[in-house]
Amino acid sequence: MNLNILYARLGIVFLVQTGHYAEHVTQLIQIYSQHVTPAQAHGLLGTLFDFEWVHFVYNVGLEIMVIVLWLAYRRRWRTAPPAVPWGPTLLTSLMLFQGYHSIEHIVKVYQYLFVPTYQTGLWVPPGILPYLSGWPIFLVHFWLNTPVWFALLAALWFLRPKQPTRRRATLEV
Amino acid sequence: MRALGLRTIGTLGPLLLLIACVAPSTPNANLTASPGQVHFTDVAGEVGLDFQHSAFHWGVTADPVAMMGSGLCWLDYDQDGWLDLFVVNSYVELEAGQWEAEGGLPRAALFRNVNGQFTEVSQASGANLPLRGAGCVAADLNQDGWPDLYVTTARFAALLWNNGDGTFSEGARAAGVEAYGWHTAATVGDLNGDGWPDLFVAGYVDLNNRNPNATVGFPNTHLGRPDLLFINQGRDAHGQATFSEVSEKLNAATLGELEYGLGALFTDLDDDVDLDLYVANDTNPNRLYRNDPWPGGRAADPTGIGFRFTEIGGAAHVDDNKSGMGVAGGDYNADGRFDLFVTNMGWQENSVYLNQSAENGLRFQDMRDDSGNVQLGGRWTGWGATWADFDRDTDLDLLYVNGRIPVIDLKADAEVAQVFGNLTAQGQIGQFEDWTQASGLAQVGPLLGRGAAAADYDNDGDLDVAINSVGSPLVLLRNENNANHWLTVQLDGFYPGAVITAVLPGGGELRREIHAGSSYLSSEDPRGVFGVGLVDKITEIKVRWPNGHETRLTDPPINQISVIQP
Repeated sequence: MNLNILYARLGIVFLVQTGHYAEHVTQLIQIYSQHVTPAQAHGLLGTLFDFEWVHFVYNVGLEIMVIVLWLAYRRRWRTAPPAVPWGPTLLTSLMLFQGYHSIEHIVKVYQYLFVPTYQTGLWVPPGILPYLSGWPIFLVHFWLNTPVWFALLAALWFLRPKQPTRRRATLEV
Repeated sequence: MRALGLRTIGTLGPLLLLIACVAPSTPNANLTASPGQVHFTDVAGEVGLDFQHSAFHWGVTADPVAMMGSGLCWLDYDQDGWLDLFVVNSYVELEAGQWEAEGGLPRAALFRNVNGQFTEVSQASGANLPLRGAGCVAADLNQDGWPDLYVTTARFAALLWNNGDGTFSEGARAAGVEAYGWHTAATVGDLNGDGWPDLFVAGYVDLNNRNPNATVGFPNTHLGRPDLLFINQGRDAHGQATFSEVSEKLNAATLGELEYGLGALFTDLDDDVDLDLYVANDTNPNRLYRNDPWPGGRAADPTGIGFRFTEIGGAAHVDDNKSGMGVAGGDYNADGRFDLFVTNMGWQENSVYLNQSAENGLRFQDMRDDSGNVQLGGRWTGWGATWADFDRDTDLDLLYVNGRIPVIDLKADAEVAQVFGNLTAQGQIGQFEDWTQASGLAQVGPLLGRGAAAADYDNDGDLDVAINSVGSPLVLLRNENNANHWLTVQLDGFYPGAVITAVLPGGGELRREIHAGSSYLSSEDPRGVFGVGLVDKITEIKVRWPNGHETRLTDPPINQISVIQP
């Protein structure tokens, strides 16, 4: 695949995650600065998209996009070396972070569907980390999104296609 | 990492790690006592308290009433000098049929205390209500000398009049204290100075009305219920007390609003000899209602109430909008002013409100992060809480019970109750250390604790604690105390809001306020229980009665119970 097209796709994934991450940052601002209760802090788009299924589809979808990118870059790096030597590690880390995030949402949907306590919708399914640690769900998911966003930002910067270097003609006298 | 709270993580924990908070350590020469030694042992089975909360008997389901648990009340219903125990029960609504098929719905239980051993008298007394119960308060509402019981539930509240012969009669409707729907905390005190105890009942959730705007999280999935305030009208022609509900007439902002009340306490926070009201709300701001007497009293008040409530929670800095559960009141730093403790969801941390009021009004400072080398705020979901001098060293220690909500699994969601020793008597004012391990509480094991109430059930001068846990056996923590001296003051009659002061030989003063209805859905020891440390003599006991009059008792005997009359 053309490197520029690949990079454009990486850019799209970054923009999508930026929008998502902005929701989480807004939610934190609502809770800590505006003192809105977590139950009523829905980020920018309010109650329109703050549902279990939406979060599940988004995060699993993002993981699939990241895996596709990882495979495409890996294929490309067989023939051309990455722009930075740790490029593969960066993309693998991104995939693993988002992979765990997806597992959290898969467990949340499982709890929503199959654990009696959560079936009526009275309580938000906690997933794994919030249940085990007692940490609030909104905070755990803010921190799960943070490394993903920064990894994408780093990838966008360090994996950008290099412009062909211009050779300056030298006049030999 | 698990110990880190929301505040720490949310405000970039590493920065906070750089900040060292050094608490002031001011010696208090007036309060000398030996270092505290407390050990708790669960003796419920040993002393005959055979009770199991009946929620989730056939598995955990999404039943919020069952999850919120129930309270318990200490009262001397037979006036024999030993505190008896009333335990509220509950069950899952969908399991009602199964219970019926197995012989009947779960019922509340009353245990009679005879020299520290309990006998169940539920059926004989008529106190065995088959209710999806929430809280209770023990109070002599008709001032006949026999403590009655008011029980809140998910449907109808019940008022059990104590007949004085070992039996109770239900009379909520006749007395005018009906509370339809899910109500929780109840607290009692004479608000208007007419000598008759009034009743506040916190409204929680309207299970019949879903909140159309809610997207996540109980209780916001449903509309709230307004709180109720019943003013005692005195005895009617039949000799029974009647009440009128005045929350609307009182016109106090927020009192009649649809909020999710769970904890309530009448306490005189501004020390002006009338009872103020503090309400812990679940996800709504907590409320503090200052009692402002009507000039000229009840007779001059066109509404006939005799006072007004002014909501000052925000101005007093006690209005956090966390998941408020239980409320404990007491003077923990021995400065003569009553402080507050409110339990919240684990990640929110509990609130420790130090009373710093002055002449310009009620002010509190949240001290959850400034309590020595322990976090009183805790990391688990707190419910019942009590300030009590467990080690009898003169200062008030803190105990609270924990347990997750929502409940998925009765065992996995249980959490250990915690106790924190106050170091004020050792000169470190307002500082605490964690006694959970050393006191044996950790060995009692994790509980799905809800209601908790301290009382000296065995009259040995130290405070024990009963805990009602969701779907679990009752726990009675017997306090195996040290050799510190003690003094218990029993008022001859029902006087919630009375303030008892023990004056120590060095001039130091210990203040205790009598509460009817506190902690989470519970009633605690109706007496003033003092630990006095190593001193073998008390200079004086002063009782400030709710009407402002004072009674003094000089050189009271220590290590025994003194009865004081108005």
